[in-house]
Amino acid sequence: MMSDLSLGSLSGLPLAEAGGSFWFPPESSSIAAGSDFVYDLILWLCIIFFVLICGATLYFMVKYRKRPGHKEEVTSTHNTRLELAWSVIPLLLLMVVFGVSTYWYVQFITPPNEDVHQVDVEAKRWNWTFKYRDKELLGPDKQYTVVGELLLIKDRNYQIVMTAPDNDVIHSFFVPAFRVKQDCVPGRYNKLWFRPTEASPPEGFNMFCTEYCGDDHSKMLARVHVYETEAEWAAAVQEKGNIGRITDLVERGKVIYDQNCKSCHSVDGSRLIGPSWKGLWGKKEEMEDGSTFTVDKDYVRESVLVPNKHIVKGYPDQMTAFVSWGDQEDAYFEGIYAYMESLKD
Amino acid sequence: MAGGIVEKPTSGAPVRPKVNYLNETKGLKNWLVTLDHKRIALMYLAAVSVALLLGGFWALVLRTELLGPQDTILSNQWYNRAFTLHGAVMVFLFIIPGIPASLGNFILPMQLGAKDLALPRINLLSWYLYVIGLIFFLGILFLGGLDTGWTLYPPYSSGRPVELNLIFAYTGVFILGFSSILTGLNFIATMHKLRPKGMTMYKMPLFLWALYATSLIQVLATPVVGLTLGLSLIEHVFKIGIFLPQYGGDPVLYQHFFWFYSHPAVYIMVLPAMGVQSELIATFSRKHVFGYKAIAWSSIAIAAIGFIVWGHHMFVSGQSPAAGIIFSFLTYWVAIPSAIKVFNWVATLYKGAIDFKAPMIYALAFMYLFGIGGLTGLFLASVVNNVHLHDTYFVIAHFHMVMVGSVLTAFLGGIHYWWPKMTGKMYNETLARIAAVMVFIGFNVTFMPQFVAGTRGMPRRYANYLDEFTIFHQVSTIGAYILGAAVVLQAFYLVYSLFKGKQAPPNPWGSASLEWQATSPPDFHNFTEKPIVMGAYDFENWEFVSEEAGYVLKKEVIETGKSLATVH
Amino acid sequence: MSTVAEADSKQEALPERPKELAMHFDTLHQQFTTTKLGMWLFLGQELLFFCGLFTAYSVYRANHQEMFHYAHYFLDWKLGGANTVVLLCSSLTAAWSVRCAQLEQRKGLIVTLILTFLCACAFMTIKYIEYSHKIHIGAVWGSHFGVNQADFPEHLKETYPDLTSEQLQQMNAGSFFAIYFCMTGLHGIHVLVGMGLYIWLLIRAIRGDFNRKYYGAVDNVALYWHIVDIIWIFLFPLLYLIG
Repeated sequence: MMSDLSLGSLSGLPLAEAGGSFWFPPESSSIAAGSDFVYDLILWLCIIFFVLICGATLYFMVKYRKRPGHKEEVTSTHNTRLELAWSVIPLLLLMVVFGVSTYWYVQFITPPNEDVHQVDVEAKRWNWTFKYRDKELLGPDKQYTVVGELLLIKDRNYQIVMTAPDNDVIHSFFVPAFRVKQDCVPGRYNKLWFRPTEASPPEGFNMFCTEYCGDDHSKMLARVHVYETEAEWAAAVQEKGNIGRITDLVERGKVIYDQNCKSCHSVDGSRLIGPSWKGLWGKKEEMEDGSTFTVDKDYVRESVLVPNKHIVKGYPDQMTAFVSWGDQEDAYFEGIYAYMESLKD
Repeated sequence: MAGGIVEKPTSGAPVRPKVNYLNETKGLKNWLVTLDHKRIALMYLAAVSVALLLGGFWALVLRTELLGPQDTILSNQWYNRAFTLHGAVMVFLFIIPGIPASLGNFILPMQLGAKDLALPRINLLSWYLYVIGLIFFLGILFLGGLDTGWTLYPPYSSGRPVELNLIFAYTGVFILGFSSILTGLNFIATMHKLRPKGMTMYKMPLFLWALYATSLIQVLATPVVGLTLGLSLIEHVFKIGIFLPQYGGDPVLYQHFFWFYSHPAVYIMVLPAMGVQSELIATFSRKHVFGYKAIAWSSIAIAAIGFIVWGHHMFVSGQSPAAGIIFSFLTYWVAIPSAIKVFNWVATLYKGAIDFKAPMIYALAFMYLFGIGGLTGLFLASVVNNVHLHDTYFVIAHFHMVMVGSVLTAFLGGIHYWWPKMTGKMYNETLARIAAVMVFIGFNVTFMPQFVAGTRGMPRRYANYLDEFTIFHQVSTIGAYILGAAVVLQAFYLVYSLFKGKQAPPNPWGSASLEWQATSPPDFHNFTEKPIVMGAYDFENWEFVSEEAGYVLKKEVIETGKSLATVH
Repeated sequence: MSTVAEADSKQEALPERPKELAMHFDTLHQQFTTTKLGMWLFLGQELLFFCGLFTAYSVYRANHQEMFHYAHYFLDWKLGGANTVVLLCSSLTAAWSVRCAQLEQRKGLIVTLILTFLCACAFMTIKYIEYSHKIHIGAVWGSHFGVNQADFPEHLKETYPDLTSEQLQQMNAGSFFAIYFCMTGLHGIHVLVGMGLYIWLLIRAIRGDFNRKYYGAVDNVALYWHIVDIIWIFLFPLLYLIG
């Protein structure tokens, strides 16, 4: 019923994506249909008013154009009834729009009381980290961390709890196919709920950062995969969340580097925000507080877990702590050590 | 400026007054210490034109970068600087002071029938503050640019290690704020205290009502952004913990403060544009404007409601949902006075004699572009749509339709309309019409595709983008080039007219407001003979005289000193 | 329908224009009320400028009530109170100076201007004492905050003997002092500007510029001075008194 309002189906123009309309990607969450309904409602209202205004203007432009033999006429300069009408009628229409829009907004901000699954999101310059827990499907006390891929199950209620580290900047979580967006503000926990209603195509849905956050803002993307079944989802989480699946340690380190470290540390010797990793392993570095450290396993581990404890001289105190690897921490560090060592020369 | 123009009187053509405000005194020094509102207005016009060209240059640079989904001409860092400089320069240095400080400064006392603004020294001070602000921004360019975005959100901006160009930006905007405040309070004082006898508030042209509403916002909203950026500056240097979360501050509070100014600032930009629009529509359809009081008071209503809608910029920032709903409600209300204005303009055309001179083409383009800009605001006022559209290209397209489509259009229309008065020269009408049509086409080609890119999810401020958005960006860039070409064409024929243009008659358009009773260009004291105070839209009092190449007051008006208008 | 001509013809009828009357005004009264309106608008602007800080104060106070309570002990209400009295006196002399100018009492004008200026000096001296003590013990903004427990004010030590410096730091007590220094600092800058204006008035008064028809500058500066005073009247209880 709702799609009856849609203009896109009439237009014959290229659609946004397979299954989408002229304007939007396919409706894939509990809120999308409502959001699009309000959009179409306002769109039709706008078209009516736009045609009225521009139509009248065009008609007058032709009919009353200055030309020989045509002279302006004095007409009344105000008409209270007319003026009241064109003030009050649009206002009433807008109040209806406000009512409908707010009805859907209330759905959007009111999560169901039960059966809501939580996913924690941490936004950092410039990647997304998602943390998954699920007693039944993943096992008790298990947490899996996946960078850059949001994995969900179709028709499940999700509460996304998002934040950014204190010394990071504001980011924003945006999935167009779901019509949802929420800022990740350092020092705050912002929440967002929705229920995916469609399984994603194999390449997943787009996810963007929509709050400007610096150099690689436009590369702070992620993919959203919505699985049909719980089993598929659990397998995907256990696969993508297990860094130990990559047995070649240097290769593993490279994957970790690409997901987490690339934006601030180069591997070719060029200076980004933090020191380059090229030739760093085993080097003696002077710290801001005057002490010196050799870059070895202990120092690297400390730098990752408590980055602001010893800052290398000449670099800003800007790194955020990576503390969410849980019981896979050692597997992560093995990879990082191996990769850094491979960059020694 | 044009002080050295040689006068060439020919029989039957308008004669340039030998002594006028342009050549009353000569030399750069006399211009730099002038207290004459007309000269200050011209100096403002020169300065904001520099800002327009600078901001426009960055717009073309960033549109060029966006021709392809990956890096084309700029690295990410330089793209970020390009859009920051484009936004900051356009907003703070061009659109906010554009119409009020240049056109308003020139026209306001003349439309009142006054000799100057109430506080001429304050007026000059305001220009100098503006220039200092401009110099700070030029300084940023020489220091290698700034990449914070014009909104300067913490923690991204003030949270970084101390950076000189960021200090320049905070200081520059702070100073520009005071320039704007001083202009505003000067305008209000002038309209209250310098109206000659007979010039009641309801006799003022609607441009002045619009400027009055603008000035109220300038005086009451700008100090808040001054304070906010002042605090940010201190925060940036000393890390005091007002807005930075790691020291106990609240970054969302910054957004509240910032938009408390920057939303009303949108009306600082658009209200004077609406004022110009009222003048143009009435003059070139030769009709008394319809619904004068409704248009006048809707300006005040926009200014008032404009103060309480700032939260609609923050629907997804984490402010409370209840606040979101209230701000959405209020935002719908602010649409009504804007709609009232548009309906009244359309009604003004009814049974007129519409003359498609260049300023009128801009005015008609304004109806269409502001129509789209205003109506697309309704989507963004709906919270549930705003959640999807916030910070996408839909928002970019929406506010450019208003800020550029409407404000720049009205600015250009106003420049063309008052050009003969300000310089005493006529520009080439054909070229002006071509440029006006190019501007209209350029806007549409640039921004229409962006609406669709936005609803499909293209986020703003992206240096690189997904392949599926390529076509929208490429069309948009072509539109931007058309716009750029139009601006170059305008610059050409306007400057050319200064040297080779025909002498303008005192009233080339048959306008009825008082400034057209002065000579072109006006005398240093504005009026050589005391102007006859009459309704700003009493076009009946003027008749076209072909020997003068313009309109002159009818004999009976001069003899009786009374307006012939029968309808008010 | 009347014209500009009427207003102008009146002015032409006058034998000569007073030397203080600017070109674009018709009468000194018009000039006076215009500049005064300008000043009132400027004061409106000032109010909004400070409003931002008052809002920030309210928001942080609501979010960190406990911290604000502890931190306010660091402010000495006696010094703040003394400053309040000094400023109230200066407002009196400022108002008096306007009266003197209206009545052309040149000597009285000079004395009241000097007294106002001296009050402002006294205010800034007391402010200096307060600031230097706070900076000395480390009761300052943001992450720079760090006061040894030994330097805690006696009253705070008595009421909360267990409170430690670390606890205060953890509560971000620095943001209280950020607000304190911003609010009083901005106010202090206004006092300094006022002092400059009073020196300017003093020079003009000694030169004999003012008379019963032309005293707008004295009036407007006094208006400015009153707003500086009023802002302090709000700052004092908010920062020093409420716990």
